[in-house]
Amino acid sequence: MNRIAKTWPAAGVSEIPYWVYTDPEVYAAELERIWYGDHWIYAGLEAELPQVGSYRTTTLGERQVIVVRSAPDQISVLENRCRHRGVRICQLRSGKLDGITCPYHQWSYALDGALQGVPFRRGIKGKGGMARDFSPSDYGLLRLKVEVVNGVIWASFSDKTPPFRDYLGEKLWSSYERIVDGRRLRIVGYSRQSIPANWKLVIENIRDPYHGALLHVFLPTFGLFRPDQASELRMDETGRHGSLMSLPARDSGGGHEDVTRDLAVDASLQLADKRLIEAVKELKGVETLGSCSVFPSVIVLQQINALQVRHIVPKGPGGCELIWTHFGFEKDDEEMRRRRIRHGNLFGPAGLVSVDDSEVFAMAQRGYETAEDGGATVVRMGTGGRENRDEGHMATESAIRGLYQYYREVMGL
Amino acid sequence: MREPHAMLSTADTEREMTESEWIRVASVTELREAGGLLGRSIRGIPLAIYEVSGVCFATLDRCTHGEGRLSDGYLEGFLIECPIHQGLFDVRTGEAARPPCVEPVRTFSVRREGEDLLVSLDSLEQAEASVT
Amino acid sequence: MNASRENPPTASHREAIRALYDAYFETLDDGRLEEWPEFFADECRYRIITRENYEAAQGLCIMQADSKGMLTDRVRAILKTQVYAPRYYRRFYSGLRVLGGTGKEWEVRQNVLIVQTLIDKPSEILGCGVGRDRVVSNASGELKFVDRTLVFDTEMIRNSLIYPA
Repeated sequence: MNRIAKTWPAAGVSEIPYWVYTDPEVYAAELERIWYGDHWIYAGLEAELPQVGSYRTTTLGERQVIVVRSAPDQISVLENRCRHRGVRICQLRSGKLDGITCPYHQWSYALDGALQGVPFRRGIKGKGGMARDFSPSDYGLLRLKVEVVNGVIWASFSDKTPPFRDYLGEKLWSSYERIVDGRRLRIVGYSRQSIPANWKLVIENIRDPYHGALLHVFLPTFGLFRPDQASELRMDETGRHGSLMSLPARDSGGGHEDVTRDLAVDASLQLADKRLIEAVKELKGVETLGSCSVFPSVIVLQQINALQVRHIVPKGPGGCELIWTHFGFEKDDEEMRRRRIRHGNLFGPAGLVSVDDSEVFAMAQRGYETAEDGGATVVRMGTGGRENRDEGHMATESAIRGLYQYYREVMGL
Repeated sequence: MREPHAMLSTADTEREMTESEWIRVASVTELREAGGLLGRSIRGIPLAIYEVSGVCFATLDRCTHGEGRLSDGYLEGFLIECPIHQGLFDVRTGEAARPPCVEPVRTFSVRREGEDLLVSLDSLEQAEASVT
Repeated sequence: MNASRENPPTASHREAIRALYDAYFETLDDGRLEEWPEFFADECRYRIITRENYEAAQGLCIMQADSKGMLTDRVRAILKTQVYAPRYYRRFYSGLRVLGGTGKEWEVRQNVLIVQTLIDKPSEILGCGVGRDRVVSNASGELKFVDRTLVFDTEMIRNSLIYPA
């Protein structure tokens, strides 16, 4: 891999140079070293593939793949590109297949990607066709490494990626398992946004407790979140993965009025229909928000009774797509089903909370794109990088520093 | 598994002749010149005719997986390979022997009378009936 | 409700329903968001839901309310708490069809196109969809929505959907 001809500022990870968000050469290297390297990328939920032949197409990095149940207990992740003339084979987002057949010349593959049929491979009445030594096993669809962990499908373009639990690390395993705890899942629905901002802004945001009560005015206004409430911000040993947990505001001591006085909120606002945010406990622990951000592609998150994965798809240095899959459990009763739909109002492209984030990402990207050479963002709040000396409070950017400590290593910067 | 439709012995021949009618589909020479694999359409029904080690068989000339003509395929031993996706059928029984073929292909009774190859009218009529 | 086609709408029903939709979209286009919930009955359902979720009978919506109170909460959030770049929306509806009803309750269908204009940007299509609604004549004879479901063809949203439609 070529060295990127860029110099990180002398201040180290307390400053993030703007070119990290805008440079096409850096972006191309991210695809190679991160998205197609020794990392696990989110590829879906097992619950989306109920039968043999059920499939969905999705994008890992910039490459489209078919995620298919190829046998009762086997999920295959195959590049969605015919080995013959490179045609993208599956055009739908989901469906059910008996086999995978390219429309152009009908090259057909088994559900696990093995090349089964090449029309007129033997020629017609002995004329033409492939050479005798043509070996179909050399021309199967590209197969990614796959691991299914508690109902979540992970895929990697690299064979060298370690087992998922090692990749995530034991420190964060409980934050992952808390949300996808092995119970059978049920899909509540999807939402999709294209955001004119660099993909890393999404990851930094979920590791940035500092912004929570300041940007998301909805949260302190209606009592869902306060900067002084007990919280826990952790990273794995590399700094690349993160988790953020918050305890309920009323359990954290201090009146609602006390804290919100410092913030620009109208504390007299009350919800007309409190069912919008009323939650019941269903997971381990009393946290009202728990997230597990698995670098580089996904945030697994619970907030009130909205359970979701947010899948990041980079689209060049200046854009990305965010695909939200909301899920519940198979055993959800009717009331819980309704509750999850109501709580869905906080998220997605019209999210009462999440709109703030995606709009601010766009505003940040516009700032970066017209920045001067040598400019950088400043992340100096709190103490520590991936060793994180700031657990327990929100006035810190240590997890962003930790992320970029890893980023500099994997990118050779 | 269905019984192979093998050559009838002389003793059976006369009984067969009186019990059902047979239609001529090709000559043995035509079949051999075609390398033991020939396609013929009889009464609108596409037939594939095979010879393996001196014994003759016949199936519908259409793969059960897609639209492939088996008579354009590749015969090796008792297995006919569909030219489109290389699925296999056993010509003796019609059973699918390799994916993507799964459903068996219809077989027809064949007999030889001197230089002529004949297919049973009964089995043709059954095939016609199933198509309409 | 199974709209009975044996009670087709009269011309005057149709006129009243068209006047409702004209007023509804004008209120929203003019930015009079506080007036928006008044178009709904107290017990109502409002959804903007992608075609993907609607056809798979999955419940997740882009925007949702199952009471008039929740509509006012949405308005409060749009006006007071959400952070977003300033913009205009203009909504174009067409193909209004009154499919049938009981004389007091009607099923209505229409196409909707939303055009968004951010500052210093050309106007662009934010999304389009089909409204599948039920309107009811209340005790005072006013027409109100009991169900407004906008099924959105646009599954990949250009960043945000701020205002209702």
